[in-house]
Amino acid sequence: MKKLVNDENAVSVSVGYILTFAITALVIVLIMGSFFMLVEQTENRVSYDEYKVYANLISNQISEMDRFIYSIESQGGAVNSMEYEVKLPLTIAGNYYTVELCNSSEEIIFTSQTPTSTQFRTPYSINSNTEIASGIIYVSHKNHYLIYDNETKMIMLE
Amino acid sequence: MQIFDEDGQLLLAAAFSIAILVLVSTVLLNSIIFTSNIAADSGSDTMIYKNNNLIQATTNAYQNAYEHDIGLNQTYLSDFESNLKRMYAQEGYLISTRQHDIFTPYFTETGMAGGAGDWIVVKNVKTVKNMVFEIESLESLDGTDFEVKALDSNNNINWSISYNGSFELDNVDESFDNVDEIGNSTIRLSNGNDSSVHNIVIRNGSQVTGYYLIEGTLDNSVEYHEQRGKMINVTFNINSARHSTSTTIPISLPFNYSNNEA
Repeated sequence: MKKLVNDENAVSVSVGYILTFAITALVIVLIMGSFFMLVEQTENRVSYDEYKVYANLISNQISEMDRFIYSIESQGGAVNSMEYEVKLPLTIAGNYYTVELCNSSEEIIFTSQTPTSTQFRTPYSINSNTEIASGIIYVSHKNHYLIYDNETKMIMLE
Repeated sequence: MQIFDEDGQLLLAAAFSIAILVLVSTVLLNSIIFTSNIAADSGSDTMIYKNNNLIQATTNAYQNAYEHDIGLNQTYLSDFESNLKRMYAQEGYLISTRQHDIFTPYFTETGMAGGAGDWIVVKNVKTVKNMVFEIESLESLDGTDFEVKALDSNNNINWSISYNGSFELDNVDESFDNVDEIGNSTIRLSNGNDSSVHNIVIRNGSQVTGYYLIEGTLDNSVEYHEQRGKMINVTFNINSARHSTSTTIPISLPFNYSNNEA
């Protein structure tokens, strides 16, 4: 009986190399693929979390403005003008994004400018006679403000 | 070719550990980059509280600065404002206030022309010690009277005063020890009898201007003191690096009825 392990009949070094190379390449491609998938998932998750934080921040600011306007108006006074800076980072998880205030569904919608378009929606609530002006902003380097307009009694994001 | 050749094993182990190191540092670096992106500036803003404090402090100052027959003590107010400016400047806020004209309020909930005309002045009243209503002007009441009523929880009327050019009293003489009508526009009541718990309400207040004072004891033995003399609109501007607000508030000035005797 021939030794099973040390038998080198029909063994070609070059075929061995080619096999090893092919298997290595395959494994590397698989690892890289799963790595990129993992990164993308993390990115989506992080974007989502970040959108949540900023959307809630805006929602909170709208509520504060609304509460203030309500308390002033219930005393018979008037808020002539009100501007509130909203600090938004230029990119979130490395991607540009838009912020939308939607009057009909009473939501703040963050959408990333990526092919997957990660989206986050949070509701806001308004008690006074104030309305929210629907609109969408592309977050850029300039400052963004929540502005109350006494003429139209509307809060808008600019 | 020897499969059991053990040379180079160390190299393999070294390569493996380097690969692990690279993997770990990549994952770590990634999480560091993402964490640094997490919103740091998420604290709630105190601007609204600053605004409310400013309004409260200014309201008190105007009430203290008002002297009957003389008007507002402007020296007091300008001292107050310059101190306030200094105080707020330290926190990064620029403030300014502006006075409008003094006016006679309507008998509405807010004192303004557009306010609710039917409203509750005091709730859960046990006794009324003093009550003064001084009517300054009457606009068209469309056949309805301006009324001040004491209603119990079942909406039964304990007493009521109605006005349409002159006062008409219902069960008032029985409920108060002293009832004085001064001219056709002022009524003073004092030492009300103990009665069932009631609310004092005003009806059709949006067509009548004037002043009132009601004081006495509530059901829970707490003293109450409700009054409204002349009013003044004051505009507040408050600015910081990140905010600006301009608000106009009506401030009710004290009604010094004892100086007002006819």
